[in-house]
Amino acid sequence: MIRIEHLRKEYSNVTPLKDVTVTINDGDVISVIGPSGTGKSTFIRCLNLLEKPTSGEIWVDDICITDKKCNINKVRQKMGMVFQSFNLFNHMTVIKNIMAAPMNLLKKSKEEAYEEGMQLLRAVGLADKALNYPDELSGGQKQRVAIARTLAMHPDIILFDEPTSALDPTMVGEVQAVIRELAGRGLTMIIVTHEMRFAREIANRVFYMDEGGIYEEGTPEEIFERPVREKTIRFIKHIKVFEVDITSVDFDFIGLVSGLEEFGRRNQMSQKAINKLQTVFEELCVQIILPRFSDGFRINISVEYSQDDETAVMQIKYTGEAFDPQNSENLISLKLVKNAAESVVYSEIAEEDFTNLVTAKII
Amino acid sequence: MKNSKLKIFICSVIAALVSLVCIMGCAWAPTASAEESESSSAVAISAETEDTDVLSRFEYADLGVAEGSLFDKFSRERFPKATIKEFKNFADVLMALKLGKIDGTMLDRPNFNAVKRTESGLSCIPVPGYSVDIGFGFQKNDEGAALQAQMNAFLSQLKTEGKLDALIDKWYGETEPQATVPLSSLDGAKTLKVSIDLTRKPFVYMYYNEPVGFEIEVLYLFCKEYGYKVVYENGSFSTAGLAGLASKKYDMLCAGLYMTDERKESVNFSEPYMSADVVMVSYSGDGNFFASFAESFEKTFIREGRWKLILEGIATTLIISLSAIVGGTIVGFLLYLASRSKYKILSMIVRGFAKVYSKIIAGMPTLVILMLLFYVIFGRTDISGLAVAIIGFILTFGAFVYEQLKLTVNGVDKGQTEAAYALGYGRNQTFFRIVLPQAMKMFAPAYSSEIVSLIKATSVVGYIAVNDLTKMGDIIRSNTYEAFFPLMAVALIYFLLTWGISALLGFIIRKTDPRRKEKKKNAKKSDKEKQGDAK
Repeated sequence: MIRIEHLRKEYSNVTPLKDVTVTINDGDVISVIGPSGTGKSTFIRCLNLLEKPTSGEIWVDDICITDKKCNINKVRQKMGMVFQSFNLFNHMTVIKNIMAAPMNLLKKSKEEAYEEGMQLLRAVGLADKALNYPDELSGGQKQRVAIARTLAMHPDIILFDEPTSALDPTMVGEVQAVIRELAGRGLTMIIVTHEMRFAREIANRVFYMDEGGIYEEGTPEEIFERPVREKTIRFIKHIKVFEVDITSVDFDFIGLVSGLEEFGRRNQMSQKAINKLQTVFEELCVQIILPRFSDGFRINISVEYSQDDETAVMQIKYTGEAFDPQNSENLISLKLVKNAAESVVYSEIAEEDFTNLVTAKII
Repeated sequence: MKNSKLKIFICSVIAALVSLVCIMGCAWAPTASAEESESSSAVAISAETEDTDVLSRFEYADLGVAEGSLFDKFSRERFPKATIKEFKNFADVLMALKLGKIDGTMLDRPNFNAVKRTESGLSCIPVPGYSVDIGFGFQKNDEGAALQAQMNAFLSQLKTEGKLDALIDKWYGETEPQATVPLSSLDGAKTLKVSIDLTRKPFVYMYYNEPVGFEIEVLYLFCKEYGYKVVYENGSFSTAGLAGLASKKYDMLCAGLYMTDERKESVNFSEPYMSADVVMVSYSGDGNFFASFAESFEKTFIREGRWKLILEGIATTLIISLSAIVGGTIVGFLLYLASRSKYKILSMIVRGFAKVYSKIIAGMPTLVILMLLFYVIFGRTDISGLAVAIIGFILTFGAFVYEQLKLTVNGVDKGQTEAAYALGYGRNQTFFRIVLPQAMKMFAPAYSSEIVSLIKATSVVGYIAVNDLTKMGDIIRSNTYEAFFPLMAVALIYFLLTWGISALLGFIIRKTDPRRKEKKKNAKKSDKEKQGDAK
């Protein structure tokens, strides 16, 4: 059990944590989500004192680790941490990375540490990489080794500081699979993540952090489906809905395309689906609709992703006289749109000043 | 694999030989050309002559002078239009003369006589109106004045007994005296600290690796008479001797010292035991290089057991280098460890100190640091030049080790430390087990190249009266007036020392890096696989 009382962390120019009081029970799997810069990483780095809290108390079981007399090294042995940047020991082979701490700190014999290390490596699927050096591994492999290294100390608690943020999209899955497997073992885990679907699936509690503290907490359903407080609602909506207005021909095209990509990744859409989404936007919106306007127009694009049927729906609303893009003369673009989208539906509307609506469904 | 290494080795040996031959060729060439020009040159004089017209031929010549000798001033005065070239000591001047780099040099007659005993092809013309007074130097204070008075009394006693002239005849005569002076047998109650300059033949020089010469014998007789025991250090009078006298490191200076008004301001001179004419020396060599090749080898290494000097020099150079490496590494490491101590006050003080210390050391030439240590900081103490050299190089090497450690440790990713902390490692364990091994990887190459620089840098210790390899080469050169073999030998030995040590370090680095071993294994494996594929 971790009990946090009035935790505060100040830097000279910012105060990421103002006043955090919360209790984490044994076996809790907690997702920590929230906009960037709201102290999520600072929060879990305070839990093992990699950041020294300015004030407040942290109790791990019966030990007050913020007490000066506390031997934090002993506590840390029971509280593992997995870093965004892996931080494998570069001068050691994979197996030595895992054996080092048990041998140095728990005084295990070499044989015992090796046996256990190999077992852990097998568990994360990397036994054949035992004699490689970290820089010979891919990001996903490194992170799996880092998890194995943490497990070798038999921790009761594991802190994950954005474990998949530094990974290629293709490698996120393998690492998440390992963490998911751990969650089933009854370990206490605290995970800072930007992968919302993962955050929702794995946790039994979700902390939404904002305004220097835990702004709202609840079960995944509560936070993701029925958020109560204003900022949480906005955040969750922002995750689920991508919305942007185009009012000039010279809009930020590159920014918008990468915004779509980020949206897709946040919702863990497949790369293929993200590409389709981008194609529909480029061809339909930029190639077909946009050339009709010069100024004094408005195009509103919103994308919503539904996890249940894993489909994204892109709605394009625009001003001007009625125009069904499917009647466009740009046949190439039209063909590309047809290939990418599952269905494209046009309708005339009268909503604010919008008169046209195209809805494209992407799987 | 082995084959290609062998090829590389053979190639490099051939390249080394070729370059050696080139160097030797260059060394011979000037001799030959000098010889050719000799016959037609205006400055070639076949015999000693009083003709002042001949002197006028040096008006526009290149004249060599030894650093700190009076002849610099004389040459400029007498031949204002000549080009004056300065050399480290008279041996170098003579070498330049023989190589045709200069046309002539001014010298006192006794010195010329002594040189002529072994060197053929030298001739001289008197330079009227110039003479030099030669004597012993003492400290410019009451103690020095007392010694000066004693020496004066002793010199006049020698003169009245007629012994002085006998000694002058002995050391400055036609034939070289085959005699040693038992300086070490002196066992007087009081100790006289004497700086001698072994490059000042025939006043002070080396014979069978012991100091001899006119002044040494007078010194011996003087000490015997007045009950002194002698502790001497060899060093160039212009750098070590005069400065050591001024800083009270030495009581007395034996270096065939010319008395000048300027020097009299800081040195108490004895009465001149000799007032010598000045002559202009020129050279018309026999040019038989190959005949002299074997002889000069014999002269440089075999005669009077001079190879022992070289061995001694190597030992001294190695002692200084190794002590500095070991001491400097320890100093640098301790300083660094103290600077990251968990006691904040200690670490702050150490950090501040180390910053100032390494800035000072890095901002000064090693030679200046050594001279400061020798003549200023340890000026009044009895500490030997060797000890000062070791201290000086420990300081410079320590500063390097500290700075390099700081740099490489800071170069290790912070995440490594955090990961270790998160696993439960303490501060020290994290440093020694995780951070330091990674820092060492970056540290090692810089360290080994700094060691090579250090060994080469030790060649300046001659300035503080230490007879290292370079200085021993100088001593041999000033006794034999041969440049080629002493310089080649010294150069080759430095090269072998640095090469050997860097090869050794490279070997150690490779051996201690498990990663490279495995890489090699893997490479071999893949080589085999490739060969297998080819088949």
